[in-house]
Amino acid sequence: MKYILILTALFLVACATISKDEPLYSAYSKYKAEANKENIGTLSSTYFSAELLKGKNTSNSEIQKQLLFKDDMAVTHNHFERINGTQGCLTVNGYDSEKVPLVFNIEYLRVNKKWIIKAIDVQLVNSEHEFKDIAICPYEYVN
Amino acid sequence: MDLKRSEAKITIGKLLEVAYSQNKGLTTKIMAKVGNAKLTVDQNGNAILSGSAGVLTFSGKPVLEKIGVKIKRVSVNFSNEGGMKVGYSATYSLEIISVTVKGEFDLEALITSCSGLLCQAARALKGRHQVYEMELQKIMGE
Repeated sequence: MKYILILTALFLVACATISKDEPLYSAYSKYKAEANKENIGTLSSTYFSAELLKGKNTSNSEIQKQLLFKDDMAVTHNHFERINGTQGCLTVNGYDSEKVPLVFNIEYLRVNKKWIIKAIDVQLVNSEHEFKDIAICPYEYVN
Repeated sequence: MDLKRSEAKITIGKLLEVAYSQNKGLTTKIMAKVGNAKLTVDQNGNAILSGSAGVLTFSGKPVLEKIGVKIKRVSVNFSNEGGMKVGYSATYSLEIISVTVKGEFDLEALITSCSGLLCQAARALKGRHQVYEMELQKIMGE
């Protein structure tokens, strides 16, 4: 019983640490776990900024595929994030379902105490050697 | 996401081929010059290839129409560090996300791959189209 309590306490501390130290990855993980084909049309404003969704028909299947960009990455390799005030960037390195490497560089905005996605660039890298070990914002290289 | 890696790379080759078919001399000068060059295409297909050797405008509409997803903008940065090897980083801006691919190609191989009349005639034949696509994919980096 004592060990179960200690393990539970450690688990809760670990969860709190992830949430506290990695707010962007935490927001991404929530989107990854919750969003799907059935609900993305109605939940899109929960994860994406109004600016990004402006004028977009979120019930359109092509738009929905892009809103579910997370499904392109089957396995997460690692992730990095950095925050500057109410703006932050998350880089997620991983592999698609055919084990081909790819990278998500996501810019987040802090709005109403929540981190929401402002921009996403999917880098179709040629190999794992192109994985970066820092967070990269899309605006740093997309022009 | 419907924009595939190979399609994103082949499209750059096709756009350069359209530029080349319109103005061989200027396209070659821009691309072969040591330094950077840039290609942008807007959602209407208006394309601009620019570099220190000059600026060329052309229509990239027929190329973009073949991609099965709506493209808002294509932006490609080329870097030529000398010789015929050209590096590129291409970003396709879609409705929500953007997709970036990088690679390098041999300029001479691209120019000679399908610039002659004979090659154009061959491409007009249905059965040869796939061969050309595969050749272009090989040149632009698989």
